[in-house]
Amino acid sequence: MNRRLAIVPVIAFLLILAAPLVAIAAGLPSAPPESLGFSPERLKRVDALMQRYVSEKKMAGMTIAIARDGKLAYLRSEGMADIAAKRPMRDDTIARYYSMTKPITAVAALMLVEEGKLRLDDELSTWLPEFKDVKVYAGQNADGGAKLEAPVKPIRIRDLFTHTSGFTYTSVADQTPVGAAYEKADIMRPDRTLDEFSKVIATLPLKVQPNTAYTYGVSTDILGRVVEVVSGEPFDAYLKTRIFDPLGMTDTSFTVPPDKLDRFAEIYEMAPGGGIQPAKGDDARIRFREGARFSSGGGGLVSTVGDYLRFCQMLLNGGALDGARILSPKTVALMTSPQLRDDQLAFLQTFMPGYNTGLGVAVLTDLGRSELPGSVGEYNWAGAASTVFFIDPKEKVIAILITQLFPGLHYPVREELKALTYQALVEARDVE
Amino acid sequence: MAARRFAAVLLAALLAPMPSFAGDLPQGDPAALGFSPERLARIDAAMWRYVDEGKLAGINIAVARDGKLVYDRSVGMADMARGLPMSSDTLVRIYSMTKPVTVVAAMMLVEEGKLRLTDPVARYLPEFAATGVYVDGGPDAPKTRPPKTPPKIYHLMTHTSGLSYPGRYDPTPVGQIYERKDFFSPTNSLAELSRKTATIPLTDEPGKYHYGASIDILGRVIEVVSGKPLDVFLRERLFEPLKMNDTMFRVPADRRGRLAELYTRGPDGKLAIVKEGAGLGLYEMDARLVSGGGGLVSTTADYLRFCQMMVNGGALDGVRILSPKTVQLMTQGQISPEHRGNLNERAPGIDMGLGFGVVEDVGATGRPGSPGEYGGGGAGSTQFFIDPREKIVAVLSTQLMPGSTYPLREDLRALIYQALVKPGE
Repeated sequence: MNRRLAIVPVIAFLLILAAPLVAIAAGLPSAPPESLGFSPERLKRVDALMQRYVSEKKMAGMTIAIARDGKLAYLRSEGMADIAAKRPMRDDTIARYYSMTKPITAVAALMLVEEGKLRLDDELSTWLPEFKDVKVYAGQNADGGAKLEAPVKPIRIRDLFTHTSGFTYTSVADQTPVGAAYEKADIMRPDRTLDEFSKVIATLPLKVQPNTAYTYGVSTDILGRVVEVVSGEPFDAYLKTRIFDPLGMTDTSFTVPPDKLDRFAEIYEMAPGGGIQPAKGDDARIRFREGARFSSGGGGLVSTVGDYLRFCQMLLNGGALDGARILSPKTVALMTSPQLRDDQLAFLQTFMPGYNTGLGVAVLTDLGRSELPGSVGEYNWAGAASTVFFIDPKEKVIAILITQLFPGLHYPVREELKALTYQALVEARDVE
Repeated sequence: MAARRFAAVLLAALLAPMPSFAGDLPQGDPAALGFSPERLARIDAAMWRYVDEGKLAGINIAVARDGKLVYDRSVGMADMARGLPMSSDTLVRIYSMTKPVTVVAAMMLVEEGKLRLTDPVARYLPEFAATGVYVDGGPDAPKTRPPKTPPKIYHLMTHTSGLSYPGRYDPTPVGQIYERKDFFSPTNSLAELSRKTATIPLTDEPGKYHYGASIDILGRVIEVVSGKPLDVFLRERLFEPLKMNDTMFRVPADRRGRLAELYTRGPDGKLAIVKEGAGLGLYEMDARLVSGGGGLVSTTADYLRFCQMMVNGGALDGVRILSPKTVQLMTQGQISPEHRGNLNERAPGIDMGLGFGVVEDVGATGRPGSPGEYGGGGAGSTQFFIDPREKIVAVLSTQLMPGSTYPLREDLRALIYQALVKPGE
């Protein structure tokens, strides 16, 4: 055999090896950690965290990315994306980001606010008339039926961003009769369109009076429907043309295309006898496959670490990345400003003390009460499959942790990501 | 052929948002001043929506940064019947946007040492020495008690004096008394208005926010302290030095042609002309009342110059009106949360400075902006704001009663801040 020909497969093999190395920089370019103010030695503690979760069989796999000043200081994947299929967790693994969809939906709606087409003070029913006669749950009647009241204040668009609409989630998250009513209505059915979903929600009572208290729920899904109505475009198409394409988020969508299924992670849950098992239930199985119709702005996106890094970097840059302007700096500042009074925040602060809510993200207002290192003004959110991210505008740091394990709050991954990122940050700017 | 070309030109003139050059502020390059020209064009689109949907007859918005004009466009008509296009030189009734002007005038007297914020109002207007706080009895037989703290000049400037407005603004018994006494009657002099107002009980103990006649009474204080009629004082001390040549209380015949028609939303949802009320008599040459709370007619161009004086720290083009420290005092939040009454229901996140609403909590306002930004609006839907951090001033002119019909201030701020791609910090 000709020696020159024999070298061809070798080059091809090297190219295959090199390809993922190029993809590692997917999202953002990398730089030596020490040049970005991180201790390489202390970053090894992040390796140790991931290895512990995987070796103790608490999680199948995990990816953590840490960036500063627009450059990746740390990116590593450990363990498996799919144990049965023997597919390792990789930096380009596609995963269910669930509620980490919410900040993206908030940005989508704020773009319409910037165009003057939508206002935070608009009443929801002016855009979605099905909410005109929505009622508020006020306890049980003597006959066991629900007592209903009229809302004192209307639901406004701003309430959808700050979770003060009175909407809730199904009984997994809400053990009240209203949560049970959501459960009975099977609200998250993947075969419903956003329009149909909105009309179902409008038949259910609100858990509390609008604009009184933070109640985590389907507000952001309804906001996605508002984006459809105001823009006149299907929500998925709007996100693609207005956010994902301009930002180069090529792996972010509501369903995984067939040719990318080999990169799609399995979703796990706690096994009864310890360890983990593939999660049961339609939600994780059908919802993200082609054919699903529900474009859930509250929790429907799949994405990759690289894509989500680019979304975060856009926010950290004040609304633009690589020449694509999504929001103005002042709108990002508003989105990441505390929005509610302390007396409205009891529920949020049961699991995130020291935080207020911005528009689509939680914002750190009291460092001491948060019981974690960080910066006032840091903002973040998490997903039901134990994913989490945070952005620190003072230190210009972004950190993302991706895994696929139900339920989201079982392990303290948000706290661990914050603690490990900040312990490795040895050149801080916001500290005197 | 010529007729067709004329028609085409006319059509183009009607369709194109009309650029004009507000005031004597120099023209600036939007991109060099941190604005995206592409995003500024969204302001055109938003103005068109208001006009195309028949919500406003016409609208003008002008924005300046660092003392240079970055945007001045108009859409639609100042007067539809007469075919008068809207522009930054259109005369509009600015109503409560008169108030900041009156407070600036009073602060000039404070700077001269002739007036103090802590002075009781009754020192200058003795008719207020006996004014009590409403207890009960209704509008027919109101019972009062003496205030624990008599109203001071400071209370007038912050709307915490206990003075109110007629019933359509304040449905309480006190508001009804204002209504019965025909508070806004153009036939009273300012001295007569002050004496009439002093016979009406205060709504609350002084110190609590209650929007009302405070700035009109402050106007009378200016007359007594300066020895000049309020309109003369404002003209000599403010409008002439600042070259606000189109700002006045009475509109003379030779300028009536530039005065916008005043519209309201009729019962059918369409624009209707306001033919009476709304203080229309105040602009007639034979009117007697000079209302420092709401009587001025001005233009976007003029009011921008007033705003520019403020954002410059009290001076414009070498003319010093106030010292920077006085401007700073005027633009600080003044009222503790427990004394704000219904202020934050109407304006969440806003505290009161002296004559201006001041943004205290950007998040709570639900709009993009800067802490410390200040501004106000008028009953004819005119709006303005001043951002001292970003060195931005913005004025919106239109003529639609009442000012709460559409969320124009929110739109103005949302549209301008979305176009600001290089903030200063």
